[in-house]
This record gives sequence, C-alpha cells and structure tokens, in this order.
Amino acid sequence: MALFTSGRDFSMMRHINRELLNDIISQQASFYKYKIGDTKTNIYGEAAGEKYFDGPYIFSCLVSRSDQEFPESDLGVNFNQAIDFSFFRDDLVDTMYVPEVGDIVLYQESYYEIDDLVANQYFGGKNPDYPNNGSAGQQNPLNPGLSKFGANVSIIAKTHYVPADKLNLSPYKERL
Amino acid sequence: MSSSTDNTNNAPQTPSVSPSRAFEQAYRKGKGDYPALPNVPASKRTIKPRPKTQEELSAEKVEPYTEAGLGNPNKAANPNAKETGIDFNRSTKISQRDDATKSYKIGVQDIDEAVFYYFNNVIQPEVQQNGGIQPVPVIYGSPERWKSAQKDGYYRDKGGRIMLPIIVVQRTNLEKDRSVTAKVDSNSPNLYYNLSKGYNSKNFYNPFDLINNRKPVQQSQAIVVGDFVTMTYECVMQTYYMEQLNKLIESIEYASDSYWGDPQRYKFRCFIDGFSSQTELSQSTERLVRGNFTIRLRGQIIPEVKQKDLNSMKATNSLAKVSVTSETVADISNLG
Repeated sequence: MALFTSGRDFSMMRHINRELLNDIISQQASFYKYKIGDTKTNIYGEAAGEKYFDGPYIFSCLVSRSDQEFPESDLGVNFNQAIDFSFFRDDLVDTMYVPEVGDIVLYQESYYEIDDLVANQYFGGKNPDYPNNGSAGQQNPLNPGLSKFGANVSIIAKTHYVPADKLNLSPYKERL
Repeated sequence: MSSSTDNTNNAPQTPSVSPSRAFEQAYRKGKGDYPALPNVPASKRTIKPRPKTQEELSAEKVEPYTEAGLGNPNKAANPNAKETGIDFNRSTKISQRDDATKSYKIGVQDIDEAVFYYFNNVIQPEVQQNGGIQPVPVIYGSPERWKSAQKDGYYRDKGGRIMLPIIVVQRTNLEKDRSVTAKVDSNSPNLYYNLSKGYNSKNFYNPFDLINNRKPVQQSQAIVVGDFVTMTYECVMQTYYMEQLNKLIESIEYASDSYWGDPQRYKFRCFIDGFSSQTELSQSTERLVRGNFTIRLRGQIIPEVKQKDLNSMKATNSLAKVSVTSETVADISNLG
C-alpha cells in the first residue's frame, strides 16, 4: 500500500499552489471555447462565416512567454509570438472546464490558439484516475486504494498568436 | 570636291561648303530626295539609301495642284536657301517653348500602376468575413521594412500581425516582344504615332476663320512607337479560408484577357492562364490558405531618355487650308 503523496498530502500542495498562483504570482488568462453546435463549417472544414464562442473563462496561471518575432516575407514584416500557459488542473476541474486543442486563450488583449495540451505533471508520479483496479471493481491486488494517492497537477497549453480579426472577438475595430 | 587647281587664275579659294555637305547636296539633287529629319544634325545625316519614313510616304500620296506652279507644299524647300545657307524649310521645326504638353512616356512603373489601378478600382476584390464584406488590400511584394511595419497599419491588427486576406503582386520578368512592330532603330526612329493637341492661345479657333472657311491648323505631337514588351507578375493571394480564396479566384479569373488600366491613362491587355492553391496546417502556425497566379501583360515602353529627345520628331502641324468660294472684281478685263 502506498504511503506517501496521498490526497491529504496533495491537499496541502493544492493550498500552496493556489496561494502562489492567485496571491503571489497572480498572472491570469482567459479561455474561449468554440460552440460546436452553432458554428457551421463548410466542405473545407472551416467556419468561414461566423464563429460562436463560450467564454471568456478567466483563470490564474503561469505565463511563459517566448520572445516576439517579426518574420519577413513577401507580405512584409509580420508578427508572431508563442506563449505557454500553465493552469492548475484542479481550478479547471472545479469549474468543469475542459481545455482542448483549438480553443482560444485571451492574454493581454491578444488571442492565442492552443496547439498542444500537456497534462503530464503528476504528484508523486501517480495519476489517481488510473488506480489499476479490476474491471469489475476489484481492488488493485498489489497496491489497493491507489485512487487516493497522487494527483494530476497541471495542464500546460502551448499556443501561437492568432490575428484578432479572424476570431472577431476583439472589442476594437481591427479593420478600418 | 572643289579644288583650287581647277581655276585658271590660280587664286586660292575657300570652299563654300564642306566636302561631305556638298556631296550630300549633290546626292539629293540627283536623287530628288527629301531632307533628312530636321532634328538630326547635318553631320549625322545619312546619305545612304534608307527606308522612307511614314511622313515621307504620306507626303508622296499628296498630288499638288501643279498648274499653279507652286510645287508640292508638303515638300516645301527653303526659298531663301541660297541667301541663308539653310537647305531645309524651317517651318518644319516647331518650337516647343511654352508648350505645356508633357512628353509622352510610358514607363515600367506606369504599367505597374495600371495593374494596381485595375485591381483596386475595377476588380475590387472582396470577401465575406465575420458577417460582413471585407475589401482585400492589394500590395506590392516586399516593401521597405519601416513602411510595412509602421505605415501599413490598415491591414494589421493591434499586435502588428498581417490580417488576411491579402493579395501580393510582384513583377518578376520583362521580356521583349518581337512579334509586333517597333520603332525599328533607336538612332533614327521610323515609326510614329500622332497625338492631336487641342486648341491653345497660339492656335485658336476664331470666327474669322469660319467666315473664310479656313480650316484650323491641327497640332500633333509625334510620338515614337514604343518597345513592345511582355511583363510577368507573380501574385499571391493569402486568406484565412478556402471559401474566401475561391471568391478571389473567381473575381480575378473573370478579369483575365481584358485590358487593365486607368481609362484616363494607359490600358494593357492582361492574361491569366491558371491558378494554383494550397492549404497547409503546420505545427504552431496559423492554417495557411494560399493561391498563386501569374499575370502576363502585353505592354509597351516609351522611355524618357535623352537619346529619344535627340533623335525623334516631336511635333507637327497640319496644313492650313483656305477655301476661296467667290471673288469679285471691278473690271473683268483685270482678270488674268
């Protein structure tokens, strides 16, 4: 039977993390989620008409910004920036929010589309969602009660910059 | 040609004209040729047989009223040639002083501007976006960095990202078109257009002319036939969606094979032979929807260069015609 990284241990970690994210670091970003039913797509798999979103849902997070880039091409000088947003997973669970690839993150009045979602940080290396119990509900014969140990700590959203007028979310008139 | 050894009194004599000039005059006298173009310096005039210019061919078609003994007015020689030493009629030399008419030129930039004019004012590409009509900007490729980043804000968002759709045009090739006519020789252009000019303070329409049935002189600017060229433009259309790209392709394809340009300036025939399109979804970048096409433009170039100014004819006047309808004499015996 496991001895460490129990739910009680993680409860302390949760409090520390929330205090750190909300009161000390206090960086925030918001999610927009596509309304799949309302947003119509064409045969090319694109919503060229109008897009509908739920949100924004604001969360505390860690923001890891890469440098702004100004690549040059025939079009002229362009702009790009990749940002990683690290969310405390329990915050998302409490609000029943499931981030997915393609969702939009609003940060500093700019929009970022999620390319990758990384949920790979486990407390004690264990994910309590997979206690290896039997399919009929039998306890894990080697280590029963694993569902009370470990934790899935974070969700890291890797994003890239999206031009504002593509989403039509901005309160500003981007096109004159 | 003339030599002092022929003289019996052995007195030294200075030749009145240079040997080459004398030979040229003798050649003309024997051949009955026209004087060379007035703008060509005497030392540069060719005395070898040459193809006749359009002006000379036109003049030959005129049959003058020979009974008056006045000769062909189009072939007017200087009646004071002996006194003045000028062997051509100076009336054919028309001063362009105070002439506000701009020199006629068609440059490469004029052709580029014709393409952009047609895009922006005739095709007016637009797409549906965010529930509205979105005009598509057309830009020339690879602008200066400051201009692109600072001045072209109208197609950038708050972060400086280029908003799509956008059309980028870039000239990639200019090729001589030898399948059509040309000025023949830049040292001595042979083919000209005539561009009629309106009345002005020195050539005005007046009622007295009307009473006398005098046809007003029409001034023309002689414009050398340009060099015909085929220019190639590579164009890139970049959009957010395939649906937008389709609409752009439709509108531009419809304009193919027509004459592009400002009706007040120049128009050139443009051909678009095909469109290619691609859609790409790459990691950590926006989805790319891109279309390419090539414009093949048949244009002409009349440059503003000194060689053209020196060698080509600039202006001509039409003949003034006075028609005498009736005359009255006091005594019929005075007639004749």
